[in-house]
Amino acid sequence: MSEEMILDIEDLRTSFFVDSNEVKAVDGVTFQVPKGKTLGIVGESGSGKSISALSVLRLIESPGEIIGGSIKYKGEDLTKVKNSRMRQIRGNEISMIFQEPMTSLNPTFTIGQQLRESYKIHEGLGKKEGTKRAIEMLELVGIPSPEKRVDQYPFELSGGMRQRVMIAMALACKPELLIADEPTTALDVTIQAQILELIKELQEEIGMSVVMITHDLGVVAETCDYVAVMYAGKVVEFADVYTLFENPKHPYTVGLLNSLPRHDKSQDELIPIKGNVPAPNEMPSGCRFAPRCPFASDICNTLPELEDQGDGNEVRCWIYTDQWDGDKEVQVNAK
Amino acid sequence: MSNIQPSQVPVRKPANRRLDNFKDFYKKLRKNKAALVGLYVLVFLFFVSIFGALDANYNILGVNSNATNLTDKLLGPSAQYWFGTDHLGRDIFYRILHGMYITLGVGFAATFMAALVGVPIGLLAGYYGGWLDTVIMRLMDVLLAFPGILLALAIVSVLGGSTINVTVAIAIGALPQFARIVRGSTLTTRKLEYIDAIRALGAKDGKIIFQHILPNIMSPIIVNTTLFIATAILSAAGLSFLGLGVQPPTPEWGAMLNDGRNYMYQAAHITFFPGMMIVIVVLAFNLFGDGLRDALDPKAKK
Repeated sequence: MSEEMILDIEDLRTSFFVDSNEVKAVDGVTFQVPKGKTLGIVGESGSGKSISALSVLRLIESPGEIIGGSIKYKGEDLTKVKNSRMRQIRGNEISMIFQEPMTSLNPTFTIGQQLRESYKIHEGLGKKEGTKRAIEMLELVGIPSPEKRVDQYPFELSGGMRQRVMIAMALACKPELLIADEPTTALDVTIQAQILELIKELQEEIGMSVVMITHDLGVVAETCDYVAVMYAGKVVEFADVYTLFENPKHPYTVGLLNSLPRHDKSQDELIPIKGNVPAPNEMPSGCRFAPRCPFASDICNTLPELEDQGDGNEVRCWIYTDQWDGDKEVQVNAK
Repeated sequence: MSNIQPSQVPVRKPANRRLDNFKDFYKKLRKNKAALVGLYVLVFLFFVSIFGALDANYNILGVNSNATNLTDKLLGPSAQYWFGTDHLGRDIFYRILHGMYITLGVGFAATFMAALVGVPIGLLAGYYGGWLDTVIMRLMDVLLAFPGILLALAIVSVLGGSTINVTVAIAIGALPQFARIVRGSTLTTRKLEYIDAIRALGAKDGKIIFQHILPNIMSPIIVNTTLFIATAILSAAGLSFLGLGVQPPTPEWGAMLNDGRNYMYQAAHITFFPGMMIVIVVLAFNLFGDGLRDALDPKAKK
């Protein structure tokens, strides 16, 4: 990848300190987002996707803390900037859409009041001008009769409508980077398709980059240019979307793909990944995935590095290194 | 979005949303008859109390409520003296009328003072947490360790008895109650996603606390305020009864109770009428407060 990177995260570590125990939610995550492109972050619950995203905006709350690494946004390290600068960036340059459209709008304010907030904070617009812009924004995200909707309260809108409002809020100041934290999980499939389509259209229109956090590989295939697969606080595979789906390398990625139904092949049953994500306090010291990996061998008790495979694919697995002492002919490919 | 046609479904014109909300609220309150009675009694008493507040020279409706008339002392209720007279021959009806604004005033003032300080304290403690929360809430616990009336008693005996000192004393005693309720509500509200969302838009802490959290926790504050006014009135009357509150000859109801204490066997009406009024006012506030709580509870929405 030789494009200009809008976001370059290097060895990010975010931990939660509970009862003098350290829970490493994000443990040395590295990824880049090229300008104007979409990066998907996939992984199951608790793999650190959301925490990574919240870390970018420094929205991690006590007892959580960013304890290491760097988050470079256009060369500026967000882990080091002042709070006041961070507030300028939030909503204006980097925006976020949250998972739950039902609870992400303040029930005591009208849609218009909440949309105006962005303009008030970042551009100092008054009520009249703000309302005008809010209506434009609602129109842009495809809400019918926006001039009436601005005066309505969140409870008067459906889930899909609220998510559109959320997107309108996030995009109000035309950010350069949008972080979408499972934007479609709470919505049904038709609305999901509309919302994803909408994000894509707006992305082209504004020319922003997107970080799409999801556990739905279908969403990834549809919207992303690059994918980072996360497992237990670490990136295990990073590739462009075609490589990932055609030639997945990490056993975990393969497992994820195998556990999806496919409509181009007839399948009698899906192949699940056995076991569960280990609890944070009993995380294996070596490869995090080793206890569930069908190919695990002795060397997996030490942690492999994320290594470039030369074909635009970075994998954190011993199988693809010279040190691999197990069966050389391991067939990891998806069935 | 070419594939989504704007729908032509007419959206109800939001003519006056605040008025609509108030109508909704009144409709719910109206179902609770007791609360409605409480509200009407309070509104009535509030207007009556204006007469007393208007004239500082004890003249009320052309009658000097502080005029002594020793020939007419200790008379029972009659057409001339509706509530009878006290040991100095003062007309109890007019004294009660006159004292109304003091009683209501102390109740309201003490409660609002407590809310004005307690609410921000609770918001800060709940929002920031950590050491600030610990320090503030332990201080509140210390205040809470004393029974309200005892604390007020101590403060008044230090500051001296006057209407203002009584108000301040009661307000201080009420601080922890407000701080705790607000802190609790803040704790639950700040974890909600819309607070994260507004922070992700770059809002400052002050804006988040006062513009986004506060409106969401208004209901418990309003209900607590209404209910506490009743308690404040009782405490004020109690302090005056003990001679530590509002000083005679100001016709404060608690002080009037104390006046009549010595004549209980000859002229029970001297204590009965002020006592009755305290009961009515406190009951009205409690009934209204309960109704308010039900009407403001979104879960009870019909």
